[in-house]
Amino acid sequence: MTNFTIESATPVPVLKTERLLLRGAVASDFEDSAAMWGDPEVVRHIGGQTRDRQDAWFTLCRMRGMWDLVGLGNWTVCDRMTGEFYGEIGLADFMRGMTPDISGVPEAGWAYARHAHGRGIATQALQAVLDWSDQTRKSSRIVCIIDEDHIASHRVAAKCGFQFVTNTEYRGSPVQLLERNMTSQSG
Amino acid sequence: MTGTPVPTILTRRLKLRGHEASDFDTLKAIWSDPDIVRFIGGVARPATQVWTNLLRNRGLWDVLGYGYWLAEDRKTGQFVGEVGFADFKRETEPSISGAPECGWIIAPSAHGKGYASEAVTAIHDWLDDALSGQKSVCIIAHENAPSIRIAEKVGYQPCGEVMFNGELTRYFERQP
Repeated sequence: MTNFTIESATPVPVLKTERLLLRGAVASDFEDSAAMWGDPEVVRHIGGQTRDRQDAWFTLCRMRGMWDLVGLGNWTVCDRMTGEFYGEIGLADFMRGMTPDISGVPEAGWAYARHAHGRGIATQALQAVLDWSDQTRKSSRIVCIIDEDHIASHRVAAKCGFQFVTNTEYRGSPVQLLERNMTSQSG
Repeated sequence: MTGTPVPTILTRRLKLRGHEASDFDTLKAIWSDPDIVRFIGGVARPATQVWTNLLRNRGLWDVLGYGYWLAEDRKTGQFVGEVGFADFKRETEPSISGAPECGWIIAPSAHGKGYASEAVTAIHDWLDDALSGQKSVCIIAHENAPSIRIAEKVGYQPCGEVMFNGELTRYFERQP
């Protein structure tokens, strides 16, 4: 005799800005997401290697599971009016095992399809995520790692209050660790 | 946006439940065990990969409405294995993507007790109940005779072979 009961799951908060809707990933985001991760221009400063379709799918699934297990995760960023897919942003704990160790500290990350580049979308979405975090989680510290050469992403991070911490490396590539402290944002 | 809750399934000896962050340490040890990974990938998994797999197993539920369970001993809480359904979007030829693909892995300490059969039977009861009318599939290496026996016991029929990671693997389908 088999007996079923149901546990609850963690909902993904919906965030809205002037132009953007940030929502949890759904299966139908897969083709847009796979196209983004398969674009060499998108990944040039995010690991350098395109991701195959299975990799993109696993990323989508695990970032959704992150909400249930950590209370953090990814949002799909789309146009508020048309629903057009722009990219993905999130706060995560990847247990990267890098030096310095950032396990347990919310790590911001984002990626945008080529058609969403250069339009102020990344900054608007990151600010929305940070506002949400400040209001609901009160994490005093949020980090991110960005390729030394990724000028566009460094500009987005700086606009949202991230500051340089140290040069380090991840998987053999030089990256910079940045952090943002909520206390330095208030007032 | 609401996530999909994971149904807890109780069988005679097992509790099947959704993965939790606190399972990470147990799973790190499990996936370093050569007896476990022998038929599945062949090498120990690094901690980061165990973590991302743990997240994925849970996230499948939200994205697909089905996913993986962690199986533990109902009385002691000891880890027994992982079992469930997924669409892994594998690069097989021909493609098997689209239908829930059944998979299971049992810790060596729990082998030979019929746990795999008990868990696999229970999740197909769930499938027939929750997603009634849903076909499911599985792929199993030719040399993995114990798993083939379990698949056939719950109603999988051999449907030829698929090319997976450069090797011909047996392919099975189960009609509801």
